[in-house]
Amino acid sequence: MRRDAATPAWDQLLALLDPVHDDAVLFARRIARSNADGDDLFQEALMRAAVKLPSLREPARFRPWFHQVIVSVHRSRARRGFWRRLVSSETPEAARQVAAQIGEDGSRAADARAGAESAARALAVLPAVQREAIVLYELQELTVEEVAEIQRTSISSVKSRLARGRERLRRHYAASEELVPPAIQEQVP
Amino acid sequence: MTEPWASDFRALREHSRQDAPSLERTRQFVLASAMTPETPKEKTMTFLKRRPALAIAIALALIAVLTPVAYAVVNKVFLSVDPDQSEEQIEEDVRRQLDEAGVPASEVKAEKEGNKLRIGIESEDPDAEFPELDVGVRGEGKRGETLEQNRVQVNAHCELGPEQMKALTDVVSSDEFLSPVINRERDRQSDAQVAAALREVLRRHGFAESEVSVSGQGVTVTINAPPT
Repeated sequence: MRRDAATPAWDQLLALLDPVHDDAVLFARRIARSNADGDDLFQEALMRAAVKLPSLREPARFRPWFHQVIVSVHRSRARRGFWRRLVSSETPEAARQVAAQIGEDGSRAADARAGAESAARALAVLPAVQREAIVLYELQELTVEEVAEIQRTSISSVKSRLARGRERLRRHYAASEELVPPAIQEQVP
Repeated sequence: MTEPWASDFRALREHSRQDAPSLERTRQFVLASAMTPETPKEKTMTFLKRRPALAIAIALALIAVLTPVAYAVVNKVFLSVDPDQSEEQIEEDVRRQLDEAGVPASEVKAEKEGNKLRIGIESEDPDAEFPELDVGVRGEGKRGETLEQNRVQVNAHCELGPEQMKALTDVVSSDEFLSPVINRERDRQSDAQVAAALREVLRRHGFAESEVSVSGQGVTVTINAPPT
């Protein structure tokens, strides 16, 4: 086999992936707890997509189909840790781990990195289905209908997930503010 | 009104673009994957082949609450599960049924392991009052063998911190705890004997102030005080 040639399935996958590649990479990174985790998620989704490609009936629908694969892999990964968790991940240790993972990616701007870390921590407290819905709608800027197709659920379920996710985010941010010592709060403009 | 996370999300949007893999890098990954002797398809088939048939299904509904909540049976909710479905299909199925029943479940996880099927349900609503869940098993499983299910419901009537909650869920999902439930027929144990065995497991793990009631294959655990 030539080193620069893939199998027909991989070739077909690459051709379909071309126009949606960057969007899919960003979705995987934003839904994961760090850019590195997101890249792993994306690669695992690629492997699964190569296996499942024959089930894609309409190549024109590759974009939502591939996002569905990413969601599926994301949930599989979340499932592995579920039985050990079953509690809120909103612990100081979890927050430190998330912050450390983001930090390893080497962001250039400290403020931007702090904001990204804060967003990653906030998203990490959401259940997987709410995190997906929030990322797809607010960060990927998809419509509710598109989110419903990717999550393979109804529009009303997506709206419910968005509402619950936002409410949980509000509680998280409110709790975070309460933890800031008064002396530091005063310095915040 | 601007949400408190608006600027953080803008930062995350930019951060996720930094050093993102290019299409060319992905192409290199794909080429490397295509050159490996074992293709993804072969891996999947091996995995399936090694997996034993699901002869006996055990549905374990674990319900975790994060703050004190009075136990109340609001309605009996019947969940129907087909153990022949994939984990994802079961999760979707249960999530849909809970949605329809108005049960505030934010996370549903199904996990097949050997001949067991475990279903975990976590609520996002700390003020939720959980209805009694009755998990029915659809499908026939393997001919000639019985489909069995056990249900464990956990209620905390006291304030538990994240670590204490984790310790609790670790105990009630452990083999040590589930073994007396699963093997009760084989060991010819009465409801009272099973309950006593479960209380002892909880006590060994620091949950001395706990109540366990066993009725048939349903187990209800009530934690009245944090672990010592």
